[in-house]
Amino acid sequence: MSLSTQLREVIGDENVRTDSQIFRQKLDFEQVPENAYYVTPTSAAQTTDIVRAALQEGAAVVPVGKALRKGLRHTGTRPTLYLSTEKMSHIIRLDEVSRTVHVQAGMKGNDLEEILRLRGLTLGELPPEILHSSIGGLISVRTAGKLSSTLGLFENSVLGVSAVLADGRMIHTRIAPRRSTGPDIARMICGSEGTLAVVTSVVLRIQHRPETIMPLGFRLPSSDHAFRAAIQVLREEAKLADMRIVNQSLAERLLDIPQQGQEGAILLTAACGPTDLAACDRDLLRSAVEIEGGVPLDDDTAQTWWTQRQQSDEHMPTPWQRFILRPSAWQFAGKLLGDWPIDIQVGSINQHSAVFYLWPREPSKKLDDLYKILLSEGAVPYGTSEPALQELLLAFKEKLDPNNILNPDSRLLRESE
Amino acid sequence: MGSFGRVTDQVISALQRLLGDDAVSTASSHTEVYSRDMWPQTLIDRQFGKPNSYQADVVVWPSSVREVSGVVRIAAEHHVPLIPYGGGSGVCGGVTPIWGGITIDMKRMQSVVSVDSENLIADVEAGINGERFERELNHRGLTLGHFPSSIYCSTVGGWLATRAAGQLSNKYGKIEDRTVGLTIVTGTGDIVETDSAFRSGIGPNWTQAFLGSEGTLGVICSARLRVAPVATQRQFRGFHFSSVEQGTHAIRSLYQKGLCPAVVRLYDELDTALHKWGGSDKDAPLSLPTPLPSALPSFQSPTPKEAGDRLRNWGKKWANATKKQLSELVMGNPDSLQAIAEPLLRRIPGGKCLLIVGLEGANTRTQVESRLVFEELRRNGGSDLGEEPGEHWLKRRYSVSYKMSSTFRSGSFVDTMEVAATWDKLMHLYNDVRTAISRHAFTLAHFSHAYEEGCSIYFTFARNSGSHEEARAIYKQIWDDGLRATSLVGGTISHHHGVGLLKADYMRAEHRETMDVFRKLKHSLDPKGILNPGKLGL
Repeated sequence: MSLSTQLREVIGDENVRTDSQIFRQKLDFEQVPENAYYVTPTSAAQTTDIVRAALQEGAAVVPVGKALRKGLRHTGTRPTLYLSTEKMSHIIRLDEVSRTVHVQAGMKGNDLEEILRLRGLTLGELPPEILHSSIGGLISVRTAGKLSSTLGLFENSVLGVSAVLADGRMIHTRIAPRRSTGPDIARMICGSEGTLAVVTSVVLRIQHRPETIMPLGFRLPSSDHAFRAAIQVLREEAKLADMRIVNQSLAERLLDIPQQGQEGAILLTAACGPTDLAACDRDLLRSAVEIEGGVPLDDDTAQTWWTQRQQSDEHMPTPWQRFILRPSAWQFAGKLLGDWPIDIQVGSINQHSAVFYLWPREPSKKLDDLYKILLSEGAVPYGTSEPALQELLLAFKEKLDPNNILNPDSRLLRESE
Repeated sequence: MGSFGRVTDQVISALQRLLGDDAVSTASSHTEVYSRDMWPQTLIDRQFGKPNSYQADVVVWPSSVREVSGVVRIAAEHHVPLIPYGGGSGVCGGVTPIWGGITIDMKRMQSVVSVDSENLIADVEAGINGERFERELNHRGLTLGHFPSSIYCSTVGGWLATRAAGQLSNKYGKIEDRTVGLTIVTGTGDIVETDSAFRSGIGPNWTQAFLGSEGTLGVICSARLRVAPVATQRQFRGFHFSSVEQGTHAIRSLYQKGLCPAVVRLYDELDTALHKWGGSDKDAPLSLPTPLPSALPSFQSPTPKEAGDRLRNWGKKWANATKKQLSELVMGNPDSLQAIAEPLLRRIPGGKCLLIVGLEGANTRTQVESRLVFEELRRNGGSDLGEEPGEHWLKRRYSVSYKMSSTFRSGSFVDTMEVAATWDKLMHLYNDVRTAISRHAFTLAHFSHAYEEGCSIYFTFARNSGSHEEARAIYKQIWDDGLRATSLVGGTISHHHGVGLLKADYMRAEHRETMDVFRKLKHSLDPKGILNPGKLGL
């Protein structure tokens, strides 16, 4: 029986597509590659059957979604099943006592958040734009944009996963608040981009929606002052949502915050939580900003920013560079970048690191030299893979997926290009 | 398994060439000591004068990552087991050399490599003693925030290898929450740093793979850990709740409202009562309830008055007895004492379960949060006992770990079972495990290490027995029944002590089909299977 027939028997004709429209729409492929199928299982059991069929026929299984589309390439050397979990988009169990939700991998973050919102719950203070992705995509691919100031990486919210291994068996990692019974396999599967297993469902921690949200905005004399205020308030243990620092030019262009006097820096954030604690955090930040010579923006400006942010309406273009920097280098970087025609946003700020995003306002050949200086000061580009860890992954994959059927051409498995 | 090579003279010579003569020992004084930890089963053996069941062939003390790598390569070349050893404070037999081999003591690798006060990261070698590391940080105005009761006798490497928890874990997290990256020597001798995921890396989080691996996947040589400024404000208090259910509900309410005290400990009725009776004479006498009909159908109950009198007498004896008398009194008849005491304790109006709560951190925020936490506890039915119980706990929080040996000397054994579950299962876990193990031993419990999604329960059980065989059999039965009950309810068999040998047989019930993924992970990192064989059920 051909692979095509097997697939159609297993998941139905409507879930096996080979037309150019779907490949263009979903995968950005101009043409349908030879022996390629776009498959949409509707259950974990069907996913298992697909992987088994692929194993039998020597086909590759490539999980796809918004996040995995980037860097996708078709080598054309073997039949390939592009597997989308878009039809696996239900909540399996919502536990309002333990504040956990078991959700199928294909459910969009926004859809889940909406259901939770109606019950006074939330996934947490995450960058809203990432919620356009499916939950499976969110945990499978690690990107800078998924860092939250208060929650850290999105995968920190993962309590367990169900996934299909390369031999077609399903695993369900056991759920516990914390455990001391060996390595965390769920966390191993997070970030593995479908190379180790196909995630079919995820158990996530959820939270009560904060009692109070106070959007806050401040203008400071320079990024140097803004960084000092941020460090100070973090040392005071204020828990502020999505604290970010942008330069004046970017604030004006994207957030419509008018320039007042000289070039400065804008610090934006929100104090969230029980009302008294949120008020405490607000006052701690105000105090830190005041010491640094900053002044509050009017309430409407901060509220507008927060609303835009919640609606994923910030329209930030793709940055020229993004990198992580530790606090000891923030001020150096701020001063250095301040001399260049570059727009800067610093986000995911916590006591140990922050992510810098750069947009040059005009092209310059010297930008590469600037970037080299930043790298020499400890900037770590986002999305790098360590060769030694890549070797560990290859060795583990060889044991787990000896026929190399799961996302065999993943960037995680390739030498740096 | 079991078909390992022998530690021959050739192996010893190779180790001596690599490390020097003074870093290699085959003396029985060393091999014997390094073949056990604080696993109560081995303490029972020693109590009855039995020798170690297993013994290492050689103990080595490397001083650098390269030396560790060299030792692993020698072990791999000769197919000899290699067991990492930290402070020896584990309670699960995780360092037991069941196939002999090389025990690698990490305590010569005890440098604080760097402390970055600006970025709040410390780079530290695995063999450093926990207390010493904390003091080094304190000198710089910093803390790791990790305070296990074993802090005086455990190492950072041991914490990492078992995913340990400190007493203030609600604020600072378990050790895995504070770990940025590890330096590991794998079973092939390769040296790997896993910090990538924290920095910016893509791909699986390898730090989370090695944490809790108990030396089965690699030897942890050093770690980059998140540190924090030392607290400038600390507020501790005690509360009473009328039942475990009411107390756990209050704890859940705290964390799910976004409040995060550093520590919350709720003692069940019996544990609370013994705390009280075990105190000084100045303690107020416990008022007993109006007698109610017994709910116990299974044996001839004393009348409530008789039971009350007996309980009072036990209380007095508890305070005045010698350790041996106490042991005989309580642990000779654990089931009957428990059966009498528990129903009575539940009938005491108000104030039956003690809750200790503490917050620490930066001055302003801690004060504000403390007020909210205390209010929330009162709103959920807690009666405020003031600061004294909290301060009392804070002063004595490490002393409990040093009471084991006196219990063993008095002819009994004692152990702890730390399990955990999500909130929806927590009371089932408490009731089922307590029922399962209190059939065999006198059992107390407290709830600690709470999270938004669940909590850990720490059972303490004690029992005496007449013979070595009987003690071993009862001990095994307790663990069999307790962990079986845990798995059936859907809890985890270990929150922070690890697995070692003690719980190895229960790993299949814990992880089911995922165990096969563990095995494949091990094969990929330790193809010859030399690293701490037999642990973690691998």
